[in-house]
Amino acid sequence: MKKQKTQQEIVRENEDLRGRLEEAEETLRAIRHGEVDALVVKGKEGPRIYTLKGADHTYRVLIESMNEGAVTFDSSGIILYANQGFSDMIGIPLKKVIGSMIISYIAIEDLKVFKKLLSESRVGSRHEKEIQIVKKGTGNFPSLLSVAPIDLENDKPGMSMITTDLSGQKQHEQLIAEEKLSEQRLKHEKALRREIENEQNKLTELFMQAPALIAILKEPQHIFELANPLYMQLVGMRDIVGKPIREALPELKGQGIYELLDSVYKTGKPYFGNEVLVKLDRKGDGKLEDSYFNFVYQASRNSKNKIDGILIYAIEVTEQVKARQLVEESEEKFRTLAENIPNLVWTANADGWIYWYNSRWYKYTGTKPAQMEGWGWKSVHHPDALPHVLKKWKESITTGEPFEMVFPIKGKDKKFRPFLTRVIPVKDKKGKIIKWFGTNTDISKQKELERQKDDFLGIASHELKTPVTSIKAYGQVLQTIFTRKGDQKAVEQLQKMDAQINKLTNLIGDLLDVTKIQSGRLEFHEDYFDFNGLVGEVIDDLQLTTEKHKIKQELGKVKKVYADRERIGQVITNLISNAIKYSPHTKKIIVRTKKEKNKVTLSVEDFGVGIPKAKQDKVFKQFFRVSGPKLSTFPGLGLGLYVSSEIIKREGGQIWVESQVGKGSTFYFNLPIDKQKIKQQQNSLVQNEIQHE
Amino acid sequence: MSKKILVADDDPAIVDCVKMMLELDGYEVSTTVDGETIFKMEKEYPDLLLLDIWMSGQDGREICKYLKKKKLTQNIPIIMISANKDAKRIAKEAGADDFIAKPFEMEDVLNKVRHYVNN
Repeated sequence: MKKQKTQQEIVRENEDLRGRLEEAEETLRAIRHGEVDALVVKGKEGPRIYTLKGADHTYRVLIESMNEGAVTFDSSGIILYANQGFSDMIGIPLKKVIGSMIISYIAIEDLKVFKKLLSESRVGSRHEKEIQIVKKGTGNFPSLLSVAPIDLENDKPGMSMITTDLSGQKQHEQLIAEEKLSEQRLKHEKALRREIENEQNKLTELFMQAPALIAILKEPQHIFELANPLYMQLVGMRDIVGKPIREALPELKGQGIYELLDSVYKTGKPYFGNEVLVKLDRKGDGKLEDSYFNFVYQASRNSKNKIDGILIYAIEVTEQVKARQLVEESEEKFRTLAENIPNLVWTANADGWIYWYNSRWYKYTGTKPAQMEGWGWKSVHHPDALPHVLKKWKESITTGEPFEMVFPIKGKDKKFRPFLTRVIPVKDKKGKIIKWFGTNTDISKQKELERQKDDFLGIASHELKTPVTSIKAYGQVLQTIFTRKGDQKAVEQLQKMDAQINKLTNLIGDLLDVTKIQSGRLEFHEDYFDFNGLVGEVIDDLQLTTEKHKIKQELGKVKKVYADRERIGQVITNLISNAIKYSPHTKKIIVRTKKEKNKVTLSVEDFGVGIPKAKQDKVFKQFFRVSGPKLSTFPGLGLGLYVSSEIIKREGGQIWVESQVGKGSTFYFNLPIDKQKIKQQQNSLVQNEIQHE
Repeated sequence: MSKKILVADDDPAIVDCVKMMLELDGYEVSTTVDGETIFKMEKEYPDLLLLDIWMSGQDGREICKYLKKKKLTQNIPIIMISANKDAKRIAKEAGADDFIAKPFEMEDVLNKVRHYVNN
């Protein structure tokens, strides 16, 4: 039965409750002030005793009075203890803090970090991390959490945590960072300004030293603000700066320049002038001179992007334009001329690229410009002659030497006609080839005439030989008869006649050869032969013609040589005959041969009249003879050495002479020993070149 | 008995003077200015033939080749005479024994004739 409480009982209960409250408050105070080491909490499961192991009164006082927050919580995160500092930090009364969960004061975004911090801390030592803590009413603030494990009552694990509010520090840090930043900015700005100044200086320098004409005009009247030295020179050093252009350069009136500037200023569009003619008073003496410029007028704008002036940048091209006009004029004259001569005419670049033919070329060949351009001319050449033409033409292009050659060119009628082609290089002042000028002259008529002449000479000399042969034979028959009769005088006369007939014979032979050489019809029958053997034969023959001279042989080791035996024999005969002829008062003649690498050299030395230095290189020319007071004693048409030198040249050798007047002469020639081999090598080279065309 | 030599040349003067030369040296000389007669030659063969390369109407080379092919005449020595520079080559090609270039030395002609007649 429930007993009704009396007034007395209620008062007693109230007092009891008040007493317990006071006791609790006292306990809290005692804990806060470190006066308590342990406390007993009555829970549902009975009373539990919590002791702060190793707690020290002094520390507790210290903890209570510090600004940092100090918290102790158990393994489930329930706060067992917190100081006033922590309570102030989170803006929640201390009473409510104790018994609440620690994680409710950690910013949600930092929970992971916090848990990591806890797990790291359980290992033993103290760990720290910057973690945001939630403050009631004002939101999160940065805080440094320092956590260390702690043993609670019954050796249960717990955590002690010190929190330091970093917001002040952060602000400070930010301030410092900002300060640093602005300092850097200042520095950077300074550097920039310096750079800009540098650039400006450079620009000004460039302006002043540029190999171009530069001027800056301002305002719609185009007032000269700046003009570089070149520009100043151009206008005869007139005082133009600060003046509007119409006043500064009045001679430009009516030339369209002012109007151009006005238009650029108005529209902002740049104007590019190409080889524009400007009549300028260049010396400031009132005389206008034709000047040509490439230029640009560029509008300049102020900081508000409004046009405030014009930049003039110009390059004078007067000389080039005038030079080109001259060239164009002369080119025009040249073409008029080239079109009116009967030859085929063309011009090529320095590299041989033909860029122009006269109309006669197209008329003769029946081709079109597109087919002929560059190296297209090869199509109207004879395939047999082309390799040699190409080789010679390329040689000329490389060496810059004029080109001259006769070769066939195919006409519209598909017939080849011989053309004499001459190409000369056109050079600039410095001697550099700028182009080639070529002409092709149809020489088929000349060729035909030449052929007729050659035929005539050939027939004539052949026909002449027949009576000469019989005259000579009759003379010798007569000699025999008179010898037998003992008429010595008649025999002598007949011998003289015979000598004259021999000269006539040689002249006829030389004439025939010269004709053949000039028409390119001197035929060669080349084969390997014993060189020294030939020399010996010729010497034996010639020794018979002279009683006075002794022809000595000094022959080196020479093997077989590839050449025309008859022709080489003719040359050796000629050289020895000359030696006999030109040494009437000495007896010795020495013939030497020797081999050097792939060449054989023969020399014929006499001790006769000799040849003056100045004439030595002329002896191999046609019709040359050693002249002087004794001219009459040295007969001959002067064709022998010419024929000899042509033979040696054609055989790929060289011929020359060393001589001293009064002491004698030595004539030399050399020949390639195995021309056959060289020929084959060259052929394959030319073949390759053609294939590469 | 003197040796018989046939001289064939289309120029009568050459024929005449060569005949004189050879006769002076003691040969019996017959002559012709017509190549045709050589082709028709029978029985009385000469001991040597002096043959011009260019016979009018006849090619001396052909005559030479013909004689050198024919059994009865192939042993007759043939010396070709020519004003051509290539006389030597032509003579060789035609199968002649030797050649003499016009104009010639009497001595050369006699030496060569002696050489072939005596061998």
